[in-house]
Amino acid sequence: MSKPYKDIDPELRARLLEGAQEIDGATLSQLLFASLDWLRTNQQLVNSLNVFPIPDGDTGTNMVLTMQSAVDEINNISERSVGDVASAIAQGALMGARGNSGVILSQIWRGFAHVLENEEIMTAESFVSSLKEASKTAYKGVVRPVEGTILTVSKDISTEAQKALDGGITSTLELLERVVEAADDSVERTPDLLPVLKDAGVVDSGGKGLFFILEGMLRAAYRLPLDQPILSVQPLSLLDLDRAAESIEPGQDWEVIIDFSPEELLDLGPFYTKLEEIGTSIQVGEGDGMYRMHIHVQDEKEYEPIDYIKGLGTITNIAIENLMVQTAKPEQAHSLSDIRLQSIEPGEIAVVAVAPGMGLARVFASLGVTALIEGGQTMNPSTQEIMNAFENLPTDQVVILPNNKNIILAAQQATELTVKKVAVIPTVSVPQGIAAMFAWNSDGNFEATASAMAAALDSIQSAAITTATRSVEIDDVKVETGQVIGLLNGKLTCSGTSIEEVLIDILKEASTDKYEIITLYYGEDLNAMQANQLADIIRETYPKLEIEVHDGTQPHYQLILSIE
Amino acid sequence: MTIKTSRFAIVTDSTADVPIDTAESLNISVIPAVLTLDGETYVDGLDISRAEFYERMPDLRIPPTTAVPSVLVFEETYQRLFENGVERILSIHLSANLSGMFNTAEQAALNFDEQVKVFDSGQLTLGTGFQVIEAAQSIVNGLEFDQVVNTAKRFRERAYVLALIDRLEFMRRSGRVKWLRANIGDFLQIKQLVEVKDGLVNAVARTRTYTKAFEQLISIASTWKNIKRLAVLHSGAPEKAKELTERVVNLCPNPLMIVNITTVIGIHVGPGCVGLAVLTQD
Repeated sequence: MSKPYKDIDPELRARLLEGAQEIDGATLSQLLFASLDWLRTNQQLVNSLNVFPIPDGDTGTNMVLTMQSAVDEINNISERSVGDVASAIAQGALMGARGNSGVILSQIWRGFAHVLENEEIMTAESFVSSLKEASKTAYKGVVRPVEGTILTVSKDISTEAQKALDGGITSTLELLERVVEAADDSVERTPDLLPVLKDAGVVDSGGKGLFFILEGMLRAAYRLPLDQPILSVQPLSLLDLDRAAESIEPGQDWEVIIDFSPEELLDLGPFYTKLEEIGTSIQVGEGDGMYRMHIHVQDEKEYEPIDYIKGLGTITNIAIENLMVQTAKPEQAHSLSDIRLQSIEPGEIAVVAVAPGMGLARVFASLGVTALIEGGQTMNPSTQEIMNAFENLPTDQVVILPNNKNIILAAQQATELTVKKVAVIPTVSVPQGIAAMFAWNSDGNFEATASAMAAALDSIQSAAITTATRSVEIDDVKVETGQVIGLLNGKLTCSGTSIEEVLIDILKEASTDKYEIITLYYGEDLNAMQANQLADIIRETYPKLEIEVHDGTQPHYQLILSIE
Repeated sequence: MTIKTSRFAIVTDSTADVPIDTAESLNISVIPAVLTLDGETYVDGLDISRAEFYERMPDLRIPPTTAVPSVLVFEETYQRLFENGVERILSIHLSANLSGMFNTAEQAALNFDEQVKVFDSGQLTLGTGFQVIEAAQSIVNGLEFDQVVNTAKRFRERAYVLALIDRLEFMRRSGRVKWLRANIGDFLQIKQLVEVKDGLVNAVARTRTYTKAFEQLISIASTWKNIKRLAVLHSGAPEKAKELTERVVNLCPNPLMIVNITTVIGIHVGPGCVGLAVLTQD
């Protein structure tokens, strides 16, 4: 990987190092703003480092939102000692933590801030101690720490920082240099420590995110730009265009995607500069001499990228989508607030459920859920959002169903922030959450109810069908981008060319003939007729089973299945 | 009709599901409840057979409703018994929390000073019926009125009903149970186990499938000790009742009763339910 700060003018570097023996509160704030900017610039890249070829676990997005919350908190304080700023970062990250990586990141900041608590400035020594405490706190926050993740990176940078200090480094900036290099190396080693990463051909996404956070600080110190990704070209298969279209801001009226082969070697610097003049949300992918360019542009500018790229080579494909129409879809008419929820009395046991999709939210409501949090696959709720859901209930006994493995940690963190009695039922899928609801009793004994709900998870099997976002081989299942894939109990189980084929395969794998009822929740990409046709196929194969079909409206997953 | 020779009499209503021959042999007077189907009024168990009711129920355009017999019906029943030489009456009815039957009986009883004691069984169907039978038996055994009341009281603590509700929509529509508000059961098929205890219908467990609920019902029943009387209840589901009977027949030393439950409760639980009424002893 290129390290642009290594090319820095030695004289400038020496001057900067000399001037950065210590860091005060204002500087730490500036560094954190830079972290956020740089992480955001590389957000899609971090998102694409996904072990499973499925559209979930947006680590980059989760870490950006967690850092955003930290930055917001800095802006809220008037005191500016390094201790004050660090505490604000820790507090903001804690409340804004989303996803497992966000929660671990917030723990890192917590440990970091703990050491600096009463400090006016940060010295090289206290920097090293902070990093050490940061790593320690992060490890403690996880029940079963896994190496080859952001945890390992936090440990490696702390070790390297200590070494650098012992070697006589006194400038915090020079320490930061070493820390960033250590982070980079550590991230590259993650596939050696965690086989799933190696199988998937990626490095750990959380570790990579932490690297960008640190590198952003260093780039700011060296006055390097923070708005242009270094690794500007990703393999085509990593380009996650679908998702980019989800966060549309004003001035992003059209989405233009152009496939082209340049006549000459593409000079990325000027290419990016030109594209940035035209629009935003720029992404470029490369594969086999082909490039794919993605951009959002204002109305009446939709043909500019085409005119420009025409001059660079041969265009093979153009896709233009009107985002104004897309955002104007009447989706607002179906918000969570339209759903009638069970009321709850003080002293009763309330249930908070995270639901990806309106249909699934309605199903949860029909089982007596008291509060719903939107989110799941693409948008993980923050610790703050979860905590607010607890606080808004009129009872002080609450059970939460995260329904996603990437939300469990944030839910646990939220339980530590409320005085209410909260049990986290570790549901990793929607069907598990629904199974848990069948064991819920609002008038029951709290501990007994929580353990009955947790025990109910074993009574069912969960399956999901989606489209592979890239080619990979995991657990002996070979998957090509765009293929239909089936997951059984969270494990990649089969792949195929049609939903029907994968559906039958996965039911076979689940020993479905030993069960009684299959519930199909169809996603927003399917309609009721298609779902019923799929149900008919199951009926033919398993005539003795009951089949129920419901509109789940979940994104990304054409089908979520419960077999019980 | 046999000539009443006892000084005391038991009155109940048709929702107690006391079999006709048992009622006759123990001199129990049964006041029939009333229901309305598609605009027409029927007397429970007389104008319409229970089998016919459950068969028609799913096709009714207007949800059927129930009505408590008038105060007058109770007064006439009490009056007739007194004219036949009865001195005191114990009038046992279904849970006052769930029906107006108890209050209507109380109003009628006001006209007879202290001679009529109206008793809230806190139960439904044979949960009430078992108390009625035990009280009537104690009269036959020659107990004094206070002792007859005490018998009913003692068995009120020992009567229990556990049932498997096949479709929640009927119970939800009835509005009788607090925990079944809002949109519960709108989407997923839910099989609900309920109990009748202390005059209320409580949720016991929810499952996705009939088989699971059925097995849970049996596993709860198998924990019951010292069973004196046991009845298999069903709402127009003789096959399911037969299956349940086979599984629980050995739990009780006395002959098992199999009862197609009163239409008045059937309206609130819908067809296809099975359950058990049990009476235990010390």
